[in-house]
Amino acid sequence: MKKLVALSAIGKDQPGIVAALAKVLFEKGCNLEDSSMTRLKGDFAVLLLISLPESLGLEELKAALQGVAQVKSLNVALRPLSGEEAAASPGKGTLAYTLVVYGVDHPGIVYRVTQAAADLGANITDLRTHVTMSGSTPLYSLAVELEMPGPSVVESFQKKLESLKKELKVEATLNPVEADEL
Amino acid sequence: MAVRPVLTYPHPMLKEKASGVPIGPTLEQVLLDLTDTLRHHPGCVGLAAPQIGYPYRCVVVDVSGSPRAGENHGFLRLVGPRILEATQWKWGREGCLSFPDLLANVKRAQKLRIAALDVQGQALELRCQGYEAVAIQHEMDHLDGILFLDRIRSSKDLFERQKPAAPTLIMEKSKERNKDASRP
Repeated sequence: MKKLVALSAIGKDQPGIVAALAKVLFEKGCNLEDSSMTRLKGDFAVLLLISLPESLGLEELKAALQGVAQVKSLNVALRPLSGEEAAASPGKGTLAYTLVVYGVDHPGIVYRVTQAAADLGANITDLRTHVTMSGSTPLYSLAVELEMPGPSVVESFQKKLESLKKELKVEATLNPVEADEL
Repeated sequence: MAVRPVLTYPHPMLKEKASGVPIGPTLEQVLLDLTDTLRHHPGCVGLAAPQIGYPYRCVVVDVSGSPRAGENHGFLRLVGPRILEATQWKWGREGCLSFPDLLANVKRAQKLRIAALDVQGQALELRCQGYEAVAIQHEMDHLDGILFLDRIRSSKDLFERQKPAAPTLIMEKSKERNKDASRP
């Protein structure tokens, strides 16, 4: 069974962060299983799922990453996955949906929308937000990927969104994730 | 010369369904204003009447100045446009003057057969493709209060615009998503 470790790192954005982290992982014989990295304003955030070679322990990996963390001023955290977690197939049997919400920026949009999803047992797997200007008005846009437990949850969430649209004065569109079939 | 301000979201007219407009002086004025406003914005390849405050079903499209244009009909004025046939769906990146800072990947037909009237009320039937077909669909959506953000199908398909230039419609081939789909 693979030894999987989740790694998060965040720090002031600068050239070379990814390369420096990847170099250490390469030299220690780790594989990048999954990753998501993005810049948030002036910070750069890294999320990695890495598999470790049998011979490499967590403490040794931590020590190896310390140098990069210092040089690049990164806050690095590691979390080993249990065997059960490593073998799991999250999202199996659920329905994949995308939700897009946009409207004039005001506090509470993310909270109200995500709480409505949580109340119904819908699981968020990806969420991105943007604050942009639309003329002189600040516009908040939110794009979310969700795993829905079943069609009845989709229906209930759709109904809840209709009331949230009016209450929050936003637009909201919920659609099944489209997979191109070639 | 009647360049009108382009409405930006959350102006309520952008979410309303536009109505028919009789052939005559009002329509001529709307099309003239659409044309002047389109020409006023460098890189702008299409505008719909609701974007400049007219709740009518007409659009102007001209992709001929774009390097991505391909085969096209030049300057088009379309009154009451209807899609008769739409095929070859692909993802492409779009922007909109009504959302100056956002871009999104949207799936559009690359081949289109449309019916419309011209400014004199004569029936037109056109076959369009590529960028022109995409521009027409984007503008026609405005007539039904559908904005390009309403067509996003993945959280990864929404982007902030990096450059200040704001053409009404930009289509960039997205390497990740530019797949020919077998169904719309």
